[in-house]
Amino acid sequence: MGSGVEARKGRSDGLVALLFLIPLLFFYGLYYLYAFGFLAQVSRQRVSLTFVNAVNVGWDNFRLVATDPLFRRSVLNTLLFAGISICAALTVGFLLAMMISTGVRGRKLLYGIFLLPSLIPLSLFATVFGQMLETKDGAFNSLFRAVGLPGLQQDWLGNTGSGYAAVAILLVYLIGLPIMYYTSDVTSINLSLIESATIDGAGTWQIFRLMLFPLLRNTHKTVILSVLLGSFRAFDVIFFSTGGQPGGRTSITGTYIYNAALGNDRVGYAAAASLIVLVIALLISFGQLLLTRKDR
Amino acid sequence: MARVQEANPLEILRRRRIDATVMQVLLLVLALWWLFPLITVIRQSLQVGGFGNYAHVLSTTLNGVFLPRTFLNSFVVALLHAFFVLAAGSMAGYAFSRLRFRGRELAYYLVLVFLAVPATAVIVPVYFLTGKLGLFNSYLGVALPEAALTLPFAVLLLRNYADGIDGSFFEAASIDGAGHFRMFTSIFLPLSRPTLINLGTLCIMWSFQDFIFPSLIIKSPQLTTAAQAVQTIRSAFSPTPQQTAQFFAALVLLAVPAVVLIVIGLRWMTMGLTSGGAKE
Amino acid sequence: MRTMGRGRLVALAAGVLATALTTSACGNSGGVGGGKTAAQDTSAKVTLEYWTWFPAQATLDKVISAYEAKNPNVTIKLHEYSNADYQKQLPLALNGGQKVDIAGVQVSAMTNTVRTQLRPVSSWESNLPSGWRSQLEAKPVQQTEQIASDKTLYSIPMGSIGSAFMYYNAAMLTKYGVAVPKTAADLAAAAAKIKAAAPGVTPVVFAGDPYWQEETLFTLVGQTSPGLSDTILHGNGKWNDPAIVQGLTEYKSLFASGAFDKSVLSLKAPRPTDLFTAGKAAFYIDGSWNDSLLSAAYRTANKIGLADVGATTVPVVAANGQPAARAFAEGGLAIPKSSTHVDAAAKFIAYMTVGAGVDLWAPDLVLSPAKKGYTPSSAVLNSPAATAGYTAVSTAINNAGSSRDSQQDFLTQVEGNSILDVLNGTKTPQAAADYMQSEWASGRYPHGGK
Repeated sequence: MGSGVEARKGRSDGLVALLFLIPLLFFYGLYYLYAFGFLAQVSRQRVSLTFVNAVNVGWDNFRLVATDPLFRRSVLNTLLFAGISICAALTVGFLLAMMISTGVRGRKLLYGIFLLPSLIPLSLFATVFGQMLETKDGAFNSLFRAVGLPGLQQDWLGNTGSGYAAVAILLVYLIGLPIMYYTSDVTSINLSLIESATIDGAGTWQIFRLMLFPLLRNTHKTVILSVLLGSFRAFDVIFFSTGGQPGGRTSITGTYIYNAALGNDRVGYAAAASLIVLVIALLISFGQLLLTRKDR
Repeated sequence: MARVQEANPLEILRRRRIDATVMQVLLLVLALWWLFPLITVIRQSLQVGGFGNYAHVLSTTLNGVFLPRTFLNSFVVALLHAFFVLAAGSMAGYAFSRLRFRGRELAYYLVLVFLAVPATAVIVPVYFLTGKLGLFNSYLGVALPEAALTLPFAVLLLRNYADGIDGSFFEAASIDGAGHFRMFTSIFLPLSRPTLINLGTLCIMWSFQDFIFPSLIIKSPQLTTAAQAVQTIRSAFSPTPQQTAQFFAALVLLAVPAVVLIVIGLRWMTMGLTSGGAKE
Repeated sequence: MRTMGRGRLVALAAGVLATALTTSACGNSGGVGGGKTAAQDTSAKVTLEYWTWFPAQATLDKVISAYEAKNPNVTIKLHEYSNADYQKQLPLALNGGQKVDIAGVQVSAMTNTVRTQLRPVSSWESNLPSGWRSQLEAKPVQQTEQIASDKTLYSIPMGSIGSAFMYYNAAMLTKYGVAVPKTAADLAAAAAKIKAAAPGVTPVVFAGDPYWQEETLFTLVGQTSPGLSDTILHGNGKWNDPAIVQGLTEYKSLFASGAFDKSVLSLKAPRPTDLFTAGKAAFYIDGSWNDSLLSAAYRTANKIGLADVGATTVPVVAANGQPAARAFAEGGLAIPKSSTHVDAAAKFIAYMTVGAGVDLWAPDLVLSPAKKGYTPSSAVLNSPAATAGYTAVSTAINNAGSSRDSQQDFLTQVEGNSILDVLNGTKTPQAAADYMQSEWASGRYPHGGK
């Protein structure tokens, strides 16, 4: 091995590569390859979590999942909530990061405060948030009454629009990771660019919007990727806050599969739903990879 | 290193007094809004019984769960998770960047395509596998699937980083007769330390947040993690005013390890973000 | 590993679980060996492994030490789980061959998931006091027998629970001059009076979670069609039956009349209990397991500052309606096939169901005991409202028109949400009923619509 650059150029390191990849292959083999095979097998059964006494039901589970209006809504919600998170990250997250970066007083503390909801366990944040939504004594409605804006009070989980609004507020709280990316990347921007812009008389807002926003193009991509991945993995955010209310209208694929898996003899059904969600998730990763690859 | 504290190009904007004041006020108002859930839960925890509630939930077991123990459990799982991801991820990152073999790009993209696999979509096979491997009620049983889900991201990050390392380091070593294992241990690993630390910290953070795998795999109250405890301790509190306040005190305490982690680990989390994630 | 069959796998998983749990619960696991037959070990020291989720551990500890004092050759090792967890843990353990001598069985939720691992009561009733059946109410025993798909009695129920009932803050009603409501109109009037006198108080609270909505719906439906819940859940009726549509309409009308406030639907359990015990609600609709609230001793022990609590049936809505509730046997005690001390286990079960043990756990008022003639002492129920409340609840349980049963996943995924849609005005009662029926028959819920 390693007998000079020239010698190595034409040669393949296949065997070494295999050795280096063994740990990765262990995880992939077990938790992806085997797992997906298992899902494919179970998805055609009616069975409980003990996996005994399985009854073969053919492709029934797939047909039932695909025709369930609740499942379709869950998939659409997952995409919609991902969209909300991305928008929040690119606007609120970006602006917060820029403002903090101007060196306001107490910026370290401010930074910590904006990151806090994203860094504590989601189950914890969502639980606290969920009980703030109570109509009568909930913290949000009480706050709106206290600051003289009673018109903002909502029956949060009582109608569809308010339910979505509640989820949107929750998602905006969770933009810590994008803030981290933006504050981190903005330091690499050339000082003289900003200096000359200020000399030319550009306003602060203009500098943020017309100059920094385009300059941080690559950060936006990272942010979109990470938020998108996070959204597809979301489960606790909804499970512990709205619980899918009102009437299941805010449920997502995560809560849908979880509920199915814990149902009575519905593990095969959950497996079918899992496979459909996996295909969607893999397609999204694939599309994302194609897009980013073009720019490499 | 800690970029937030360093001289920042945007700081010129502070020279504009009015804009700076507007931003300062805006940030303060928003910070209050961000603190609102925390303020709410602390208020609720003190409503009946005061600070004694904190002492109480720290000194008793709740459905068999002892809060300080949950922190330890979360931490052990997090360390195992980080170890697996760093070990398997760095080796794979090196292989995809520095080794040449047939189908390398295809294999790389096959690895990355699993980036978006949601944990909920694999709970059924993970439950089955955990039984098959005899890993119910063990830290390992939780850390292994967590690592599997983090690995695609780790490979992306570390390969990007490895691609950015100046090739001359490796060429020089190669001329000196170093093999790939030596180049991996004595060049690649030391050079990618910032990224490894960044990745490790992210792993720890994600483990602290993970609810679904612990709740699936850990049934013993002694091994319950902090994120899981949010749910399992609920029924330990009767719905009486004082015990409800105590439940909220427990919730506040469950956030403490994460906050401590932020204070200690934030600079490492931010470090290396640019070098990996936001690469051209 | 790969060639291991499914049965082995479950055994392995359960074994791991059981080991972890046993060691964590009580140290070492007794060590009375297997292999001995039941008849051989009557005189030897016996350790009984007792798995359950009910009643509260403090209560069980009391019962067990009383039993051990009377039977010095018996040691009972308790393995107690939370309600939901227990439904998964017991089947896993029994399928894996774990030795369990006495198993608590949630009669409606668990009988069929574990029955193949249990000994039928007929195989061990010779160890029970003769005439044990006549000492128990006939209904819960019969329900326990009928719920098993092979119509065999696998466990002896400790008692029954029922729902929905309405608990009330008796002191508050007296203060504002409100009589205990009997009809929906009474309740609306009471709510209006309380709202006017005490704006901070929510007149009626109950859980807004999807799962709870079924309880109120079937209670209202039961006021005019007492058996309909059974008919539908046994697959002999339809969810869009006119009586269900009427029940949904009635449930919604309670909000329109002001008896219920829509804000209550945002309360997640156990928040309604919380409001009621804090004196921020006058009425609290929930299940009979809240009878504990009637006990002054329980309230003192749990620092609940309510002076007097009563209970009644849910007010009647339709003009021709009768008060109703659904009830079911609960707290079954069974002997698994893996038990090696059948006779000793049977004796303990007798103690818990027809013997002196009842007097030790029943004062918790969580279950209405199946043992005939049990009445709580005046130390437990020390006010007219509490005594009348206890009688009202146990009478309604004994005369229940339907079983308190449900198809859990259908309930949480479809039924609860459909009822909430009606209450929120998103769907008409008819549309919601039709949707429930089409989902019930869809095949998505394997045990529904059979």
